Amino acid sequence: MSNKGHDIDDDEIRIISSRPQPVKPGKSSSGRRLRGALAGLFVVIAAVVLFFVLKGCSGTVAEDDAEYPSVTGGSVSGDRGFVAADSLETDSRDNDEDMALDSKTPVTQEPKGYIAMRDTTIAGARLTVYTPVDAVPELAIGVDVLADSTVLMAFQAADIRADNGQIVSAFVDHGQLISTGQSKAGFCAIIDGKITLGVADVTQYFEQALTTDGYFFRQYPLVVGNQVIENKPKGRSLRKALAELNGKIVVIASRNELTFGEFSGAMVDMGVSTAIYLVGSKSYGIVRLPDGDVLEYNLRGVRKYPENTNFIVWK
Amino acid sequence: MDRNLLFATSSELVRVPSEALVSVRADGNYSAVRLADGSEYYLTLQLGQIERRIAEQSADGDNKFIRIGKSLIVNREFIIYINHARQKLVMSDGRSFRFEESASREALRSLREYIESISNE
Repeated sequence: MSNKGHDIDDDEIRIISSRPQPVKPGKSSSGRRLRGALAGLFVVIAAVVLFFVLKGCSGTVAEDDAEYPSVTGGSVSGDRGFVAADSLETDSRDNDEDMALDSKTPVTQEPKGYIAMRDTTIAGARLTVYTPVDAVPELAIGVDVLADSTVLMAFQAADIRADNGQIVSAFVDHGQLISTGQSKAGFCAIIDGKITLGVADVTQYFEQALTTDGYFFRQYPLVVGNQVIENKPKGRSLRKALAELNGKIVVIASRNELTFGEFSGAMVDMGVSTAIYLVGSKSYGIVRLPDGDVLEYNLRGVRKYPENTNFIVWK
Repeated sequence: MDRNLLFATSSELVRVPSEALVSVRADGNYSAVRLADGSEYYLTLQLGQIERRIAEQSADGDNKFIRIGKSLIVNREFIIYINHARQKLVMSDGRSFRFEESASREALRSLREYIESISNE
């Protein structure tokens, strides 16, 4: 019997064989960890050697050191890996001479937001949860926003009418009223960069969005007060939702086809307190992950999307 | 040489030629066994137990089954598509069935490297 008692991580694979065969492809996570540790050790040794070499030199030391933060600053600004950015910034502030350089060399602070992603399965519903961290939400109409490289995540928000191409129900874009209506009771308001989800035919957030250059759209309500809201459509499809989970606003996407009830029930089981629907099925979505990977949902060529296709985006 | 795999619990038994077993996915305390005829059986066995039974019953040199993370076992013969960025794995015989599975990106990267390595042998 092979593999008896061997645990396996989600990031690993293992060949099942009648003979013990702990086969792991060349780039298994443990191998990567080992290489990472060796690389880290090499960096530490190199840093120590460099320190003593520089210490042995006179006159040029301060100048060489002074250039270092601007170089690392450049690499930080292009990196969405917030942990690395923080650690590098701390290093640059440790040197008094660096502070003088900072005062005459403005360092551009790029947004440090990122999207955290995790998969879960609840009662047969396979869900992916995207959590924006330090990212600013807004709405956008049209597909041009998808070309903006600062967009960390975008999903279609309000539905479009098939007959006239207009946005269904009330929609406010940066304080401008684009459409009206209350056919869907769920709403999402973005006021001063903060998302509020709820269910109401009339809400003060609509007025606030208009008077504060905010954003507002309506969709099917799925969950309110940790309770499932019944909706008429009964068919199964890939589902997406904007939800409040443990006090954070997240996007939840199903990886298998579910009814509204199954989708909402799974969200309640995972602890969602409020959720409204986002356009599902073949809708477009894009997520830029911290490691540079880009996930795209249902890419079919952006030119094929109607003019009023709208997105909730995080930058 | 292919042989039958037997998965038995106190109340049920699934007997399937190893070449017809496509994948096994963990679902809580159950395992969903997918076969090449499109059928699916839920067994009250955990994935680790399924893995051990496959190992016990496989012929020497038969290593077509691959455990991917905590939740999935696949028959590599049916893998037709891997996209680690989208965490997507498609299983098909190219004719009668097509299943989509998902796994972590790291695991699918490793799987891709493994498939490429054995294809080059």
